[in-house]
Amino acid sequence: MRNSLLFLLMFNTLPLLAQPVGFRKVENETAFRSGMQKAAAELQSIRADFIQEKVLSMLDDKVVSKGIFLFAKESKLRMEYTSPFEYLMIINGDKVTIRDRQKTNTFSSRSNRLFTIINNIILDCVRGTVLQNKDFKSEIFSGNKKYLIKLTPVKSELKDYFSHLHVYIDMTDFAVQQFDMFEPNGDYTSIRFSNRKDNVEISPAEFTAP
Amino acid sequence: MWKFLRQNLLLLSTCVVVSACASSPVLEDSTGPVVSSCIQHYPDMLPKTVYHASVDAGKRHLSGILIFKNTAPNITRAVFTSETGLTFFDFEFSGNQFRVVSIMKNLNRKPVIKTLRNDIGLLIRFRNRGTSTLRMIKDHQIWEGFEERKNTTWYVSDSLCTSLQSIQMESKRKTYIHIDWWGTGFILPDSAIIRHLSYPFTIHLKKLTE
Repeated sequence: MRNSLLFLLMFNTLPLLAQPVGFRKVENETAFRSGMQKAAAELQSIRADFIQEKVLSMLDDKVVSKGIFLFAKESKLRMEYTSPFEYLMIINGDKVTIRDRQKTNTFSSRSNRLFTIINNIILDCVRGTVLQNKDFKSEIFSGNKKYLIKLTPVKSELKDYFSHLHVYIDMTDFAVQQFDMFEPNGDYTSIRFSNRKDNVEISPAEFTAP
Repeated sequence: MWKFLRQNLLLLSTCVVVSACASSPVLEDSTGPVVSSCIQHYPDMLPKTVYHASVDAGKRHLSGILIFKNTAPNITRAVFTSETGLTFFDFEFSGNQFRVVSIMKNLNRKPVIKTLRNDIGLLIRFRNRGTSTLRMIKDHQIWEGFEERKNTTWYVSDSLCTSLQSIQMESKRKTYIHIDWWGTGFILPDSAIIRHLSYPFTIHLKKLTE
C-alpha cells in the first residue's frame, strides 16, 4: 500500500520536476505561437540596455556586465559591452565584426561554426523566431505575467555548448525580456533587457564595422 | 693576467654562492648572497580577480574574461569565458597539482592545455613554491629562481620587495617566456603581458573593476 502511494506520488511529481519553478506547461500552444508570429512580423528594430550575468556554478560566483543592444530586421545585431570592459560585437547578415581592447576583426560567421550557432540563437531569441529553429526542441510554459520557452538542443554539436536555453517572453506584447543559456557544466549566462524601445530608427552605420 | 684570472674566479665564486651560473641573468650588481625572499610575502588566499584577456596565437586572436578565485588556501581556479558568457575552460591549480575541470571541445588538445597550464600557472603557482633556490640582486631588482627539470623560472621584484615586476622562464640557452607584470602589493597584477619568445603566442591581461 505504502509502495503504491509512493509510486503514485512519484508519477504525479515527475511532470512538475520537468517544468521550471513558477511555470506550468501551456496546454494550447496555438494561441501562443500565433501571438509570437504576429509580434515577430511587426518587429522591425529594438534598442535596449542589457545586463549580462555569467554565473559560475562551481565557483559560486558571477560576473556582471552591461551594455547597449541594437537589433534591426532581418539579421542585424549590435551588442556593445560598456562595463566593466569594452567589447563590441556586430552581426550584419553573415558578416561578424568583433572589437576588443586590442583589435578589430571582421570575418564571415560561416568560417566560425561556434559564432554561427550563437548568432542564430541570439537572433532567433530577439526577433521571436526561436520556435522555428530546428536545432532545438521547444517546450512552452506560462507563469505570472510571462511565458517561458525552454529550448533543448537536438544536435550533439550543440549539446557540447548548451544543455538548454530559457527564453522569457512578456505576456502582454510577446517581447523577449530575457534569455538564459545553460552550459553542460552547470554554468549559465543570463541576458536581461531593460529600457527596451521597439521599432525605433537605427542608423545603418550602427551595424557597420567601426 | 693574474688580475683577469682573479676577477673571473671572484665571479665564479659569487655564482656558486647563489647557484645561478648557468642562467642568463648576470650578477653584475650583486651586493652579496644575503637576499630576502619577496615572493614569500604573497598570501595563500587571493581575492577574486577578474581580467579582460586577449590571446594572440599567430594570426588568431581571441579575447574573453579570465577569473581567478581561491576555493581554499593554495587552491586556485582559473576560468576563461567569452565576453558573451560561454566557458572556454576551467582549470584548478592545487600546489603542484593541476586539474582540468572543464574545457571546450575545440580547445581540448594536449599542447593547448599544456601551454595554458604553464602560462597561467606562472601567474599563481609561485605562491606555492616555498623558498626559492636561487636568489640574487641584478639591476636593483631581486631575482628569485626555481629550477625545474632543465628550466629555471625567475620572479623579479623591486629592490624594496613591494611588488613583482616580471617573470621569466628560461632554459640553459635562452629565455622562452617573459611576463611583464604591473601592480602593487602582494596580489595578482593589475595588468600583465605573457610573451612566448620562441613562437608567436601572447596573452594580454587587464584587471577589471566590477
